Amino acid sequence: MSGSAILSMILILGLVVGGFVFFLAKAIKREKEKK
Amino acid sequence: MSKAEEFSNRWGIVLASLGMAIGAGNLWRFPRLAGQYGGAFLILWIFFLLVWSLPLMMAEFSIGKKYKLGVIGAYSSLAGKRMSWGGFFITACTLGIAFYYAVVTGWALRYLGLALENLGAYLGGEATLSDRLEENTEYLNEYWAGISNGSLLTIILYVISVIIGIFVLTRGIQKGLEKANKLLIPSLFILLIIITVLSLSMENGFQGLEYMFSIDTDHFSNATIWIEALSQSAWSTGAGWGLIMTISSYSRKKEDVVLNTFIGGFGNNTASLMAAMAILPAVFALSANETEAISFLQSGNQALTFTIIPKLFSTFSGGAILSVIFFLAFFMAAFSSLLPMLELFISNLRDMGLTRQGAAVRAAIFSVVFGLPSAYSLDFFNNQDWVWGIGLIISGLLIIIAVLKYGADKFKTDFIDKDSDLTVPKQYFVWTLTFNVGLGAFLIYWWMSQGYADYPWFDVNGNWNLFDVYSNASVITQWALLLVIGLFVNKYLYTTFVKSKV
Repeated sequence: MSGSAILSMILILGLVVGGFVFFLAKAIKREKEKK
Repeated sequence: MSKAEEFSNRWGIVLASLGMAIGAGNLWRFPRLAGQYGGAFLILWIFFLLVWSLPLMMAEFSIGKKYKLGVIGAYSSLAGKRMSWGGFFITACTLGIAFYYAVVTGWALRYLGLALENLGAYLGGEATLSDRLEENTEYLNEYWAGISNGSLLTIILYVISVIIGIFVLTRGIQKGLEKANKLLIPSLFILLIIITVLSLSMENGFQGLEYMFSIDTDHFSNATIWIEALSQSAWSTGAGWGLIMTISSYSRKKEDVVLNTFIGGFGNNTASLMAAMAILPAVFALSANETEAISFLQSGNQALTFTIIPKLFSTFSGGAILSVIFFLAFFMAAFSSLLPMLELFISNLRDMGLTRQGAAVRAAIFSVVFGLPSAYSLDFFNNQDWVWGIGLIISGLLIIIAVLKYGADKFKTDFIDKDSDLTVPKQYFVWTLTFNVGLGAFLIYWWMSQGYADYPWFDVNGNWNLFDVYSNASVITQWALLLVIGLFVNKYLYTTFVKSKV
């Protein structure tokens, strides 16, 4: 894989998968606080 | 009157939202587009998640949560008695999809059977799919042609899919929908991870990722890629379908809107990326060369899934197992999306005073009857896919119009911000919704102007070209029929689905 494709992969996965994990973690934290 | 049933906790509704969104489109359309157009498509697809899908999903979620009614009742409650026909259009449009979507689930079962049969033959030392393809290179094309047109077994499997779905839903929200998604969604993610690891371990597997993530800046000036990115986001997240409205009508009274919507939107996109990273490396690794791989990706959803992938998987020793895993994942994705579509039907019928069981039986009968032509004829299936697929943009616009009529700013304060653990800026919600009115209208105009049929409006003899699969005449006629029926029964809809519930 070329360097630019690797960089693009990191950014896109970081934004989408990172976003999913971030919001999921935030929800888990909220649920724990409510308990 | 509010519904007594509700999800047991936040995770019940989050899993239901993910199950609704992650469907066949994640596995058979997204990887094709990502492989063809690469990183430019992915950037636009993320852009439209933020601009089109998330604001619409937030609106839908909060409408369902507030009114706790089926789509017709909830939409009419917000939009007012003169616009009840809008709720009817959204419902009918999604049901138009549900009727043929059950056929996709039936196809998935059929190919899962084929994959299991092949695995059995492989383990038992009998003639495998690979041997059959050596004898007849057209074997899989003939197989697909056989099952997609006039096949009794396809019809039986399609009916079974509807019955299983209805059986799950008769058990209620917590014991049925919630329990099924607790099994389906984690299993689906695990299966996608397994396929990704196996695909990437193939020689040249990483070449698929190179195509997927390379950004060709020339693509940003190609209107087709913008349209493909927008339609993929709209269809895949379920924004504008009325499904999120249905799911959230079973939410707890103080359920979070924004955070749950964002988990659903980003979770769906994560599943799409995983599916592309599972399929593209395998397609590139197992094709003879790059040109052949690209031509496979351009061949369409059905061809890629039902003829090319089984053929490619048959060419290497672990392919028999990989094929079983792939079609199991495909079935799970399709089935998890079919469930909320059927629930949308049941939910509206229950608002008419029926019990869950009574509504479920009627939903099953209607689904089987109206889906039958799609199970029997691929042309009919493709026509319905085309008509109601574009119709979803109208559904999305109807929801946006209802919110703008109420006042987007006020809607955000009254409907979304309450109970939300996360808030979005007011400007983001108001501006994107307003912008989306133009975007949706342009999208419909663009599709109509492309001329997907040889004779979009009138056939060669000058007659209204109603029976062409992809003609504008067919699209407009079916939409108009729904609108006329909706307007005709508008008063009845408001009285039955809203007034009697107050």
